[in-house]
Amino acid sequence: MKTKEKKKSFELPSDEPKWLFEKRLSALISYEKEPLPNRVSHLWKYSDPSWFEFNSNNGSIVSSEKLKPVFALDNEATEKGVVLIELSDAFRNEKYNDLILKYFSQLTAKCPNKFAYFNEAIWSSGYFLYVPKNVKIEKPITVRLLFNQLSSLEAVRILILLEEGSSLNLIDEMSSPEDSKRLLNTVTEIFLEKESRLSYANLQLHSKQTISHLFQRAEIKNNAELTNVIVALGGKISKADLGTDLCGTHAGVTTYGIVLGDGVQKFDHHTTLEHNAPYTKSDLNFRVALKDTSRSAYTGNLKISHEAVKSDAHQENRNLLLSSDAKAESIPELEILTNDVTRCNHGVTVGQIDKDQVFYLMSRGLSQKEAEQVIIEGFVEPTISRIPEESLREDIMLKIKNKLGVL
Amino acid sequence: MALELNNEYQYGFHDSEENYAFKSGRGLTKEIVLSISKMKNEPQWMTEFRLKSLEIFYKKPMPKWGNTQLISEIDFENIFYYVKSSEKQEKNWEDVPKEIKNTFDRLGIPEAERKFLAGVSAQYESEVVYHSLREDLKKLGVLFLDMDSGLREHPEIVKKYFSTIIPPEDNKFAALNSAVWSGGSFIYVPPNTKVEIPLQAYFRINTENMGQFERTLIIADEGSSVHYIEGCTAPTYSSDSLHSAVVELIALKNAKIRYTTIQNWSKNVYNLVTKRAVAHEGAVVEWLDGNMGSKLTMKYPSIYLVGEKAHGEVVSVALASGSDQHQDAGAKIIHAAPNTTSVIISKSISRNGGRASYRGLLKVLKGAANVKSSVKCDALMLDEKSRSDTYPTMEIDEQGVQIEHEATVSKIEDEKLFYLMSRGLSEEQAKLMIVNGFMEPFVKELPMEYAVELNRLIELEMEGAVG
Repeated sequence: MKTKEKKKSFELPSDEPKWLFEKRLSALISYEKEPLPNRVSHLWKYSDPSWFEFNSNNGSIVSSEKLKPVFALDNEATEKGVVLIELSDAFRNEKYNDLILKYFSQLTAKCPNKFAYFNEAIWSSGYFLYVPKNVKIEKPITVRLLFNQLSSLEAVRILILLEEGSSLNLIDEMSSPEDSKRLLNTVTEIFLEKESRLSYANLQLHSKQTISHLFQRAEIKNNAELTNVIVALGGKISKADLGTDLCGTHAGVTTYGIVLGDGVQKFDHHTTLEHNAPYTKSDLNFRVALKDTSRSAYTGNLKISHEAVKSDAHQENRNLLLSSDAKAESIPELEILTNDVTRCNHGVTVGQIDKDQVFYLMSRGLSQKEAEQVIIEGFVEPTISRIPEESLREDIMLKIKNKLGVL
Repeated sequence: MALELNNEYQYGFHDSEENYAFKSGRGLTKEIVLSISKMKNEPQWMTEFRLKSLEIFYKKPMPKWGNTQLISEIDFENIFYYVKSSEKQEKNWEDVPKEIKNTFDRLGIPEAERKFLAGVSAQYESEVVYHSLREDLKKLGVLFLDMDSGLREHPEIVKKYFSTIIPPEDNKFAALNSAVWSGGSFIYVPPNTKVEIPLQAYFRINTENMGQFERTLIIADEGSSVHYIEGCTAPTYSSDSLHSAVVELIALKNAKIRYTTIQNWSKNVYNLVTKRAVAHEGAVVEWLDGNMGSKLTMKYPSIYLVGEKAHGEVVSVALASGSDQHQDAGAKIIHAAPNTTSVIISKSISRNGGRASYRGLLKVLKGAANVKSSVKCDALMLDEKSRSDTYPTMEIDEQGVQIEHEATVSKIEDEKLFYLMSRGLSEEQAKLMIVNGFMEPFVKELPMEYAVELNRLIELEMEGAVG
């Protein structure tokens, strides 16, 4: 009964289907049972799991006022049958019951995780995106999640499903007002059916008081392709655990990561890439620039299973340290269980800003700050320039410039 | 060999137990540690050190990383921690299995050495060679003894440096070694002395040479240089299920130490070794580390670069062959001073279901400006049953650095094979040539006779690799 009471205190909407309520309860029990992750495994080596726990230290006010994602579907998309609605609405609408039952929490169930259980128990906002078979939408769809002042805890749940042969460009922009302390827990599940194509970007622009935990899992079927862009600029502590299961032949994932840190910001990004089928392809390009006493840890785990013959995997992580107090960690791991790989390699560099370059730019009339900005922009440019959509590239560059402008 | 401990003798040439002058009971108790120390007539501080280490060993948990499944199978209660063999060890050459003799043949190991390696003879008859070498070293003032004699004859040097690099608190196996160590080498090279020929454990072979819990301490005083070679390419047959050594190297200002190991333990052995070096100002430390044998090896030679302009290098190869073998090897380099440089080159080959892992750490501490480091890991996989892992860790606390890490995993490319075969080589010859080329950066650093032996060993291992 204790659990039930506790759950009640999160003031969840009461008009949910009963089975979902039961699911929340069992997730809450699992959350309480599941011990904090073991810090010996590299995934938690650089972040203390207790930072992301909900307790009186990091927040106690939970608003009953639900966070509303802001998005707009244009006529074309609506006419073609694309569905983009709040997740809680999707649960209430019988039309989507079958889909939701089939996909919701299928990927989180595969990797038991305390913070995913927590999310499953208390999520209140988020959205459901569905693209029907063979529907191709060119124009990017942007979803804005602006966290409100009142709540100090938010759990966001996102479910994305692309049916066979469909394609979409999607941008999630997450931000919160300055000087608002909060704990954020996001779980995103992405399903790409055969021959579908998703370009997904997660832009993290939180206030410097926000503690964020993002857990993202994607399942990619035959010939489907995911382009996964993650840009982390905000937050006090920002941890992202991104996992991709390449389970269909010729499935592919390309990951682009950009992290810019300043002040006392802490970033911890983890990627799990699993090649579980033949001819699968993964490519990762992660660039981190750090100022002041900011810190970044990038840990990656790339697995090529015995079945995944003729796979092709490439990982690259580059770190630029702009101050002697900044700190970068990198653990790109490879676990290869077949010899029949087309290519499998990774590379890491950690370097400082080139003083000659700064000097050269300054001799051309730039201030030191401007020169550093130019160099940082130049450092992240090779990753950004590979992102396929021009508008997204411009948007990201603009946000980076914004951040650099106030550095 | 002195420290035959396990009662199971896989290769069938079992000693009758009466041959041992002293054998401790199974399991590890305070009494056993005390009796080891007493038998060796050790000074009080060493006895206390052993006892303290034993306490630490009891308290320390098993490692929670690496191949935890395999390490958890070690039964500490079923190990003899100290066995002193009598003068005459009579095993029978006739009892040595055929495949081992074949390996010796193929490697071209001299007769006397074969007997030693097979555990038939405890004494490798190199007295003459060793004697003249000893005279030369004496003139230079170089101390080269087994660790027990080192402690007896030069207690002041041993006490000053012993366990300063690897304290018993470091890990469970270092604590175990600290409690029950026996044998190993002690080397001291006086200032500005260059030891031209490599010092080999071979030359100093006596009953306590290649023990189960050996302890090696090498001190190169200011401006000196020394090259030490441990082990050999030929298979080392041991009935011991656990080999847990501790090796400490100290390179003082502008000194140079190179430490070469090629381990080829039989496949029943857990080879869990702690090796660490400290390089002071301008010093150079190089680990050349080859892992061919054992059931599970966990070994990460480390270098702490504590003085300005110190340089560290780890070049390693691992061959994991068969599903009963896991080579978990790597390197650790800690840059603790400015203008230090390091290089790690790791090559691994896995075949026939074997698993080869590279596990490394590169750390740049705050204040260690202008550090340059390059880490390169290459893995070659010869069949689809095998496995290769790369677990590199980089922790950088300082901005003025240039760090590069690269890893590749590949198979033998069909194009290369085709090219070589079109030149008239058989498939087997072609593959061997590619593998030899892959190992080249390691092999070329070895003394000639070792390189020859290693090449033959690879050739032997590669037999039947076609198909």
